[in-house]
Amino acid sequence: MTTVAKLNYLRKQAGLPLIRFDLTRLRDNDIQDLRDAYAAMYEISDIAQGDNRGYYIYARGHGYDLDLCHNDDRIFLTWHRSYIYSFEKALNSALQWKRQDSELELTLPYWDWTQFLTATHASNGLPKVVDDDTYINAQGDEVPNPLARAKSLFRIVGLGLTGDDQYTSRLPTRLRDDIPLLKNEVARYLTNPSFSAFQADFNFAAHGHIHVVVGGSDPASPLPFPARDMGRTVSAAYDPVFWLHHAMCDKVWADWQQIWPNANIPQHVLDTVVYDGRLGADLIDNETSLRYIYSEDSVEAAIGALGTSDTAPTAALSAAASQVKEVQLGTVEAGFVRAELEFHKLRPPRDSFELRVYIDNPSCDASSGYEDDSYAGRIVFFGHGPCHGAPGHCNPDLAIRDEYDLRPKHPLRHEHTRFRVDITRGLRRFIGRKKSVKNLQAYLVIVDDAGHRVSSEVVSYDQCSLRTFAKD
Amino acid sequence: MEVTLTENALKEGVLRVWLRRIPDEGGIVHAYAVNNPNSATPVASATLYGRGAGSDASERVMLVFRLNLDDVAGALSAGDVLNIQLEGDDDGTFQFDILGVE
Repeated sequence: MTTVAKLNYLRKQAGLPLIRFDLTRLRDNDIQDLRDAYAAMYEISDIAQGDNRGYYIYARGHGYDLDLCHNDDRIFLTWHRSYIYSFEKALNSALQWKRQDSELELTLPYWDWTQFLTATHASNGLPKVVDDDTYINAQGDEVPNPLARAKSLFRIVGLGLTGDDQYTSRLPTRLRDDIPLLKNEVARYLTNPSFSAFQADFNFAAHGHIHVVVGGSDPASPLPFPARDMGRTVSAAYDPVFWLHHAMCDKVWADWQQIWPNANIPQHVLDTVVYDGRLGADLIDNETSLRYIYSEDSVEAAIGALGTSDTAPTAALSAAASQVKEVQLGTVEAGFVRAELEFHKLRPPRDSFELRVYIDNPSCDASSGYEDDSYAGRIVFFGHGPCHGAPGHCNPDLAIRDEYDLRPKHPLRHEHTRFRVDITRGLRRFIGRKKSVKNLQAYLVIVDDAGHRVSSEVVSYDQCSLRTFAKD
Repeated sequence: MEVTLTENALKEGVLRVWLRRIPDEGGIVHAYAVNNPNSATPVASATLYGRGAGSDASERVMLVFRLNLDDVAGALSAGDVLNIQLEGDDDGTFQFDILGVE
């Protein structure tokens, strides 16, 4: 079966926007992908709280403990669009990490809370897939449902709660009865051509209503207020349903944009930088800028439209890494004003090292120092230290960024790195008065922070080349 | 806390009450017509999604009271005083820091 994640991967290969589907339209395999993705994010946070691929990192941005949101109601829509976009990409990365499969593009489904269907919804109004405490997995075992609840940093660290109280919970007593009201409300909002008025009414009525009714009223709540997690901004984003709720909020905005394509967006909204450093103006067009759209149709219909089969083409990507101590520079002409030794796709090393360049001196070592006539230049690497995250945290090959994933680049990325060593003086000194030198070789000595020579394997790169610059 | 029903609100069927800062508290807020003989029944309700204790959130928030004009037709007039109260706050101790009413 072509899952949503596989379908969207194929759509990405075809240059098409990814699709976010209605939660109730997902098939069993899609729901399992979603569960596995959430579970993987929880796992990462369990291994390392600070791992930026984990659930906590995203949930904490909304309230406890970073409180990045809720300081300007005028940017409600752009802030949350950016927020769930980043979460969606993290969800997909987590699924790729867990499945060891990079050919996936899982999208966040939306929970349409204006709908109730007996077949797909629990009696309290929540979709069954997020309400059931457990589910039967492929092995036939009854296991906890990662969509029902999640550990909360607010509960664990902020409040010191233990045991079952570490997990989010809900009390949607009045949700079911309010669904018709919510449907009418959304219909009303969509008739308003003013962005500011639409946003304000939507934010403070239907959107907030879902938070309040899912959080419920509970005087016995272990939280410092008489409600469950979704009921307050400080705790809401730890509940797994938060993201599906906000996908619906984003869809309502996208629907409004379809109705009012020429609506004026206030300059303040366009100019304000929101979550993950994205400019408001870059968040207005979800299809073009963020490469996703919404669909109310079935997944099968989308598969049919793409003409896919169950076998997806694969392309193996590999980046050969090599490191050499001896670097062939070939023939070098004199008369340059600047010469650089350039290392392509150099992987930032874990430990700190100094790389020294010597010209035509195969016997150079750590003791050769800077005074040797063959010394040409150096570069110092400030190491990133041992990995403090879950497996894969320091592997930039698991964090490829492109137009479909606008998150900040991995700090250890090396696809486009170009480290340069200025060897102008050393090379000029070696060439002297000659017009050119043939078969020139450079030698690299790598020393650690104690000044001891270490194996050249500690610094890995794809290619090393000499660049010379002529006078203008 | 009392607010005055504006003409615009009555006309549109929506009373909007801005609060200066998102409060700690949250829940359902009911509006009661002070001079209505059936004053125990709210004429409208709004949702307050509060920030929760310990949060630094500082944005303004709006209570959106959707007036059910079918129920209150003729019963409300511009200038009427409404008492807004957080559900469960029977003593009326919660104070709304009102910024404006539309």
